[in-house]
Order: sequence, then structure tokens, then C-alpha cells
Amino acid sequence: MKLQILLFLLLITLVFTSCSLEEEPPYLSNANVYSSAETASAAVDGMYRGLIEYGYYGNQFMVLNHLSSGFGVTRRGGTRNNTADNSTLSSLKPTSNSLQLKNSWRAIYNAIARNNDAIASIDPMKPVSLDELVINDAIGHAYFLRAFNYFNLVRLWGEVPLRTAPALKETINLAKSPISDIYAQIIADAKLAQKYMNGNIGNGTPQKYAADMLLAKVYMTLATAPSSHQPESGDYWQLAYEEAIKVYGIYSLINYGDLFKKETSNNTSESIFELKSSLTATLDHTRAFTPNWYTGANTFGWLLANISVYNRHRAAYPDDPRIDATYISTWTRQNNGTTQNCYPVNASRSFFGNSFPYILKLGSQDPTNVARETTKNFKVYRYSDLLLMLSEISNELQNGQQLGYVTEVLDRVGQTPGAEYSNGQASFREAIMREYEFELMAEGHASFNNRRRGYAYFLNNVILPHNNDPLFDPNVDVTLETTEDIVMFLPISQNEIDRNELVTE
Amino acid sequence: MLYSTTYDVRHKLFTRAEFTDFSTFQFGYTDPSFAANTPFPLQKRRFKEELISFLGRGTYTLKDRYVFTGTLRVDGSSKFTEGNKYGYFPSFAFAWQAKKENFLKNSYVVSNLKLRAGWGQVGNQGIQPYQTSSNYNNTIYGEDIAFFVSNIGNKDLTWETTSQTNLGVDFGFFKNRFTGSIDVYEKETKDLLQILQIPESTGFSSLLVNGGSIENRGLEFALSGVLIDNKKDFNVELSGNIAFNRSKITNLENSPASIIINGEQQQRSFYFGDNISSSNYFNSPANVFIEGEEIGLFIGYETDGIWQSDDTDLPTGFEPGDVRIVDQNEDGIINAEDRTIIGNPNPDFVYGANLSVNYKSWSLSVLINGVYGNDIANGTSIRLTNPIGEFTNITPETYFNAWSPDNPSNIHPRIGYDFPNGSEAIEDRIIEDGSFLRINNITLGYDIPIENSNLFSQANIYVSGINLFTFTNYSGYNPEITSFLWNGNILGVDWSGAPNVSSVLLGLNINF
Repeated sequence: MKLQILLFLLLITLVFTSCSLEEEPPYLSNANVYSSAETASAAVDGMYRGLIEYGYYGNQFMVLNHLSSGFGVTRRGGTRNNTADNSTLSSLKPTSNSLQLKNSWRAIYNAIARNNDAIASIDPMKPVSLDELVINDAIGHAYFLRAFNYFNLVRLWGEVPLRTAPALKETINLAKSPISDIYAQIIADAKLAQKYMNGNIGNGTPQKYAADMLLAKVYMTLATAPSSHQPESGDYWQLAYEEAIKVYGIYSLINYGDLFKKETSNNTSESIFELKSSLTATLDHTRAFTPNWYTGANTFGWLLANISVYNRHRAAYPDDPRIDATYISTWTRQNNGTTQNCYPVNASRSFFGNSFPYILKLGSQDPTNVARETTKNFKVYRYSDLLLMLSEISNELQNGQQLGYVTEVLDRVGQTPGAEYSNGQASFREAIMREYEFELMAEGHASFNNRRRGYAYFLNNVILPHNNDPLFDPNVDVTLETTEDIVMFLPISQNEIDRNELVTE
Repeated sequence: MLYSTTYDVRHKLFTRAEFTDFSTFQFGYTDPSFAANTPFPLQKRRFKEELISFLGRGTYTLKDRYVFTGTLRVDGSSKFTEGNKYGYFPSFAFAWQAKKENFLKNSYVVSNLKLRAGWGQVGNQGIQPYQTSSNYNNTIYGEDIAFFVSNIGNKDLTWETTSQTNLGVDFGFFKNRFTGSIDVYEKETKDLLQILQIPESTGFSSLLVNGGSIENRGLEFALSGVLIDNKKDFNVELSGNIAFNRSKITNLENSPASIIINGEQQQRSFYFGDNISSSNYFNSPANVFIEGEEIGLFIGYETDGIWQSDDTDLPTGFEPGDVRIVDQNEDGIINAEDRTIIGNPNPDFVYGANLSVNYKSWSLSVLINGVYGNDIANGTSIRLTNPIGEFTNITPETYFNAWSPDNPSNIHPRIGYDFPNGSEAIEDRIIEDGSFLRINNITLGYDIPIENSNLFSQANIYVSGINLFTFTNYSGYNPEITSFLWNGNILGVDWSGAPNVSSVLLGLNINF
């Protein structure tokens, strides 16, 4: 009996000591991901992957940016001007529950979490070996993308939670930070990105010039921002120039139409910051943004342009090839061979579905295409944007270079700067702001550029020209909201308000 | 290992000790994203979890009628970190076989009487392994494998513990012709393992935590009786059960925040359940979990009819013919701040009954079950009862009775009422009484006379109707909700629920 008990106790002791109950996860952890060049490069790919997700540049952020710019409407949810998207986002009256707003919020912060994990996991080193250079480059990308992601957040929402370290159970609630603090963090991160990005990862990842361009954009935004948004007072136009000029001459312009064709668009000399799309990890642009039945695939054609925007481009540069590369108004429907005509080919505007030109450039350009996935990459930063920035900055500084840069951009599409460019600084300013619109329509910049110069600019150059357009038709068009408190920033996602104890509105 | 001692006839002691070491592997694989493209070889992933248990039990029986049982379980789980791995779960039980007492031993009326009492704890570690660490997962970017951090590790995870006290009595009368039981229980679950919806500014949507406590109190009756027992010719048996349960959230870790209950702003600790859909309709939580309340109350907009043409105080963006949503905070705007409690998915009681009749060669059995007093959020009716646009189907009732200046309905909104599209909350118009009584099964059988057959030993023909009748006021397909049963953060929501199939079965049973 006693022996039995003894044996039993012995057995238990043995097993308890031999069974460690330790876990050996089959997953990698941050400790081993950033220890080798190969895995650190894969983590960098993971960070860029965060940007092509459905909620971000893959789809919803593109929709959010276009609709909240005041430049367009959508067919999503129905072909009428009072769908949820059109009566909220397209009318510049978003709610905290607007779908694209919630999805973008989630996706951008998800991307930031990847940047934060990298930054918290590795310390930059004085590189000796190639591996160490690669790991430093990975850090540089993490800083670049964190700055880039927060720059998107702060321009869309204003004050947002500024999280710069991986979240722990104890820190899941975080209050919003002042806009100036967010910009201070963005500037600091962008400078570290400039320091560590060394191009050794390669493989389609951006060079440090992308960080220069980002910083130039940040400074330009601050140059016309209220002083309360500026981390410190300074000559932001001059700072913007110093960053932008570093990129000048490094890249070059290619044929405009080639930028949007799958066969010619990828990894060109014009691309400064490009997101990859492959059949296995695809941007959702072909499915969502190819006009319906323009190709043989079932696509949605979500993005339409307001006609005031289209007509403005047509009036400024009547024979501009960019118009045909950007918009489409007539095509043969691949499902039944009929012709679909909409504005301006069919100018009747008899119902919502034929009242707007479709945005063509993001989707598939090939009518024989039958796939909804795409191998067409997306360029977040293009060189022509940089040239327009340099032109705008130079006009503010009156350094005499302003006309040269915009001439380069117009030259490629066979256009010349109009008389408004030789009519003084204010006239030049107004004209150059329109160039972003013509050059970069629906490429994820309009929402920012339209607000960057403040409420008065947005009201008088975007909102009122649309609402007061002689062709405005309340049966098909949306009326843009005019109240400053409503149109300048998006409301915080309802999910965040519901779950974050320190964010109440 | 067993140890048993009997001191004399009146005292018996059993002890038992058990030890188990249990580990399981689950093989996952890294899947190719599209069937046509396999960018890298499939990888096998080994998910291992290990559980060590020590169980000790002692049973002491006095006079063959008082039984005392004490148990101690010690469980160790690999899923938790050092210091949190082991849980200790004792339990005690007492049973009294009252029928064996002298004063009942010879009773004709009482044929069985047993009283039970117990207290005990059990643990739950039913989570995925590796949740205490932040894991990197695989994805693809371009044509390359990419890594990304996929969760927030929670090093503090530990056992969820449920303590339960119960009292019960089993009884039988008249040679067990009538039997039954009554049970009351109170159980409290602490350190609930739950997937908490967290602020998305963390970069993640959820986090596995031990959060909060829930108390459940209940009362259950079961009775069965032979009503007619005419030996061979005619038998009628009836049994039934009914169960009452009340849940209450006793503790939450969330800081108190503002929520409107019964028309007043209160500072309460609460969290919202999961969003129901990710599209424009019902892209909001249906449930809220508030400390001190039952679990998963419905949250949304209280409504009060339809705005009429002569109403003057319409909130921003509303027009006559729109649903009159109560502006709880009276700021003239209808938004998430006007949400309040609009229903309760928890039933008052659930019940069931079984009738069995035999008459000569015929047999009939009827099985019913039902629920009383719960609410259902009928997600399907958001689109069917709101005449939103020209492209979605709506019910004829909604269309033909829609509000118009000439037809000032106070129930159905105007054609074009669009508020629920992209709304921050549901309206209480979709909350319905979910009570129902269902005749789940009726079977009528007949024993074919085969006394003269050498071939068959038994032959029975029967017709059986399954789910033939349901008595309910619920307008959806099926008041027995099947949506989101796997999700503890969503309760009582019918979202694209499928109808419950009714079937009639004709059958023949033959034994040779």
C-alpha cells in the first residue's frame, strides 16, 4: 500500500518536472524576424502589403479619397445620387459609420502596427556587412511608412491617437493627440527614414527619395496650415523646397497613357513610390474601378467624376491626351455588344447612370481582360507630382524656377502653360493647384490637395464651383456640404469611439 | 489508483487518484491564395497543446445513505505563461438518499427521494495555443512571401474559473409512476476568456483577455408521469421540463462611460458586441454588455412612429415620412450618442414537453419545445421593411402602406427612407418578440399484425412530421436563431437565417 503511494508520488514528480508545458510556437516572433536580412526583407514586404489591403490603397481608401475630395460620386450601392455613399461621403457629409471611412481607419492603423513592431524590435546599427545594411534599410522603411501612414491619418481626420509602440493589453486605450504633435512625429520619422533607407532591399521597394518627397509634402501642407498645426514656426516653403529638390532629376517622365496600362505601367522611371499587385496579392482596382462591362470581367466602375471637374479640364486643355487616359464616356459592353454612352458623349443626363464620365485610369484598360485580379501596380508617388510640387513651392518662394517645372509636366502631353501662369504669383498659384487635379485625378491625392490650402480655398475652388455649375442637376448630382466644421475633417470611426475609452467623438 | 477501506458496514471510504498528461497536435497548413497559383510549397504547421491533470477524489458513505464526495483537480495548461499555467479546482458534494431512511423506507406514496447539494469549481482553457505571444504570420506581397505581426500577445492569460453551487431533489411517487426533479443553481464565472473588441487604433480589432465575471442563476423543473396505464391496451405518458435562467454581468474591467438607459444618461462600465455585417446595413453592434445587467442587451435607436407633415421639431436631415427616432440627448441630431437599450435577447424561460400515447397497435408521440420572453433583432427586415430604393426587394406591406402626405402612416416610412443605410445603429423596429412554441415532432405508428408470420418478428409502419407547426409572432423565417451561434459577442441576431425545414416522413420498420 505505502509502496503504491510512494510510486505514485514519484511518478507525478517525474512527470511534472519533465513536462515543461512550454510552448514552441510554429510562428516567427519579432525576435527572430528582424535577426536576418532575408526575414527582415520579408517583414518589409509585409509592411507594404499592409498598404495594398482592401481597406487601404487596394480599394476603400481610394474610394474615400476620391469621394471626399468633392470631385466625384460613386455607383457603389446603386446608380442614384442618394445612396449611402453619395449622400454622405460624396456630399462631404461623412458619418462616423461611413463604410470606407471605417475600413480605411482600420487598415491604416493595421499598417502602422507593422511599422511599430519593426521599430520596437530592432535598433539601427553601424553597418558593416551587407546583412546589416539590409536590416538598416528595413528600419528605414518602417520609419518611412509610419510617417506616410500618419500623414494620411492626420490629413483625413486631424487629431487621432498617435501610437508609436506596439499595443499591449494595458495600453489599448489611447487618447487623440494634437495635430502639431502628430506632425512632429511624422517629421522625425521621415528624417530617420532618410537616414536609414539605403536601397539594399531593392526588389521594387522605394528608394530614400520617396522619404524626401514625403517630407516635402509634409512641409508644403504645414506651410499653409494654421500655426496651431505646426510643430514649430519656420519657413516651411523653404524646407519643402530643400526636400523636393533632392528628388529633381533622379526620375523622368514617361508617356502619360503608358502609366495606366498593365503592360507598361510597372517599375518605370517615373515611379517614386509604387505598390505591387500580383495575381496572388492583388490590388482590387480592376474589379472595383473598371467601368462595368468595359471588359469581360464582372467589374463595378465605382468611381465617377463630377462634370464640373471634367469640363474644367476640357476647358483648360481641350486636346489633352490625359483626358482620354483618365476618363471614359463611351464603350462597347462586353456582355452584350451594346454601346454604353454617358456624359459628355451622351449629354442628356437623363439618369444617374449616364450622367458622369467614368474614371478609367485605375482599372483595366484592356477590353479583352476577363480577370478581376490585376498585375498592374499602383504608383503612390509619381515624378510629375514632384515637378508640380516644385513649381508650386517655387512660386511661393518666387525663386524664378516655377514655370520650368510645370512646363516639363505639360510638355509631355503636348500642352503649354496658359496665360494665367504669367499673371503674377496669385494667378500662378490658382493655376498650379488645378494642375494636380488634371494630372493626378483619382490617384489618391485630391482629398489632400483640395483641403491643404484651407477652408476658403476648398469652398471657393471646389465646393461652390460644383454646386453653382450651370449644368448642376439636383436629380443626378450631389450638393456638396459647405460648413467648415463638417467638410474639413472626417469624423472618427464609430468602432473607435465605441471601443476606445479615451476617444469619445 | 484506488484505495478503499470499509471500517464496518456503516462506514465506507473510497479514494481515487488519477493522473493524465494529454497533448494534442493540430496540423494546419499555409494555404495557397488562389487555386491556380501555388507560389510556394504547402507548409505543415504543428499546433501543439498540452494539458497535465491531477485528480484526487474521496468518497465517504455513511450508513449507505449519506454520501460525501470531495474532489481536487489540478490542471496545467501549455497555453498560459509561467505562473498562470496551473489551475486548482476543488469541489464538494453531498447526497442524501432519504428514501432509505426508516420513515420512508416502507412508504407507498414516496418511491424515491434524494437530495443533492454541491459546490465546485471547473476551469476552462479552451483557446487557441500561442496566444500569449505576438506571432508573425505569412502573407504574400508581389510574388514574395511576406511576414506581418498578426495579433497582440497577452502574457496575462490564465484559466477561466466557474464556481457553481447547486441544490437538487429527485423524487418519485407511486412506484415511480410520477417522477421528477427540481434543481436550483447559482454559478459565477470569473476571468472570462473572451475575444474583446479593442480600439482599431491599436492596429488590431480584437484581443483575447480574461475579462469580467458573469453570474447565472437558474431554476429547473422536470416532471414525468404515466397518466393512464391500462397495461396492454392504453398507455398515456406525459413529461415536461421548464428552465429559468438569469444572467448578470457582475464585473467588467472597462472604465465607466456614458450610456443612455431608460431615458437617462448613466455612467456604466460596458462594452459593445461585434458588428453584424461589414457592408452598409447592420454594420454596427447589436448587443451591449453592461455591468449589472443581463448579457448582450440590444442597443440601438428607440423609435416613436413616423414624422408627420405638421411636425415641427425634426432632427437634422429628417423629413416627414421618416422614422421618428427618439433624440435621446436632445441635441437635434440623430447619431450614435442617441443609442439606448431596445431589447433583451435572453428568454424568461425555455420549456419542452413530450406526450406518448399507445392504444392497442397504435402509438402516437408528440414533442414540443419553446422559448418565452426573448427578443430577436431581425436583421433581414432592415432591408425588407425600409423602402430604401428602387433596386432592393421590400415586402408588399411596406410598399403599399408606405407613408405619403395622403397616407400618413405611423408605422411604415415613406418610399426613399434611407437612414438605416450606413446607420450607426439599428432601430427598435426590427426588434421582435422571439417567443415561440414549436411542435417539433409528431409520430403516429401502427404495429402491423404479424402473429401468423414466420418471416417477420415485428413490423411497424409510421408517419412522422418534423417541424410541422410553430406558434410565434416572429416575422422572420425561424425564431430558433442560427446566426452567429459561434460568437459570444453577438446574441439573438437573425441575419440571413435560413428557414427551418418541415418534413413528413413515412416509414416502415421490419424485423426478421
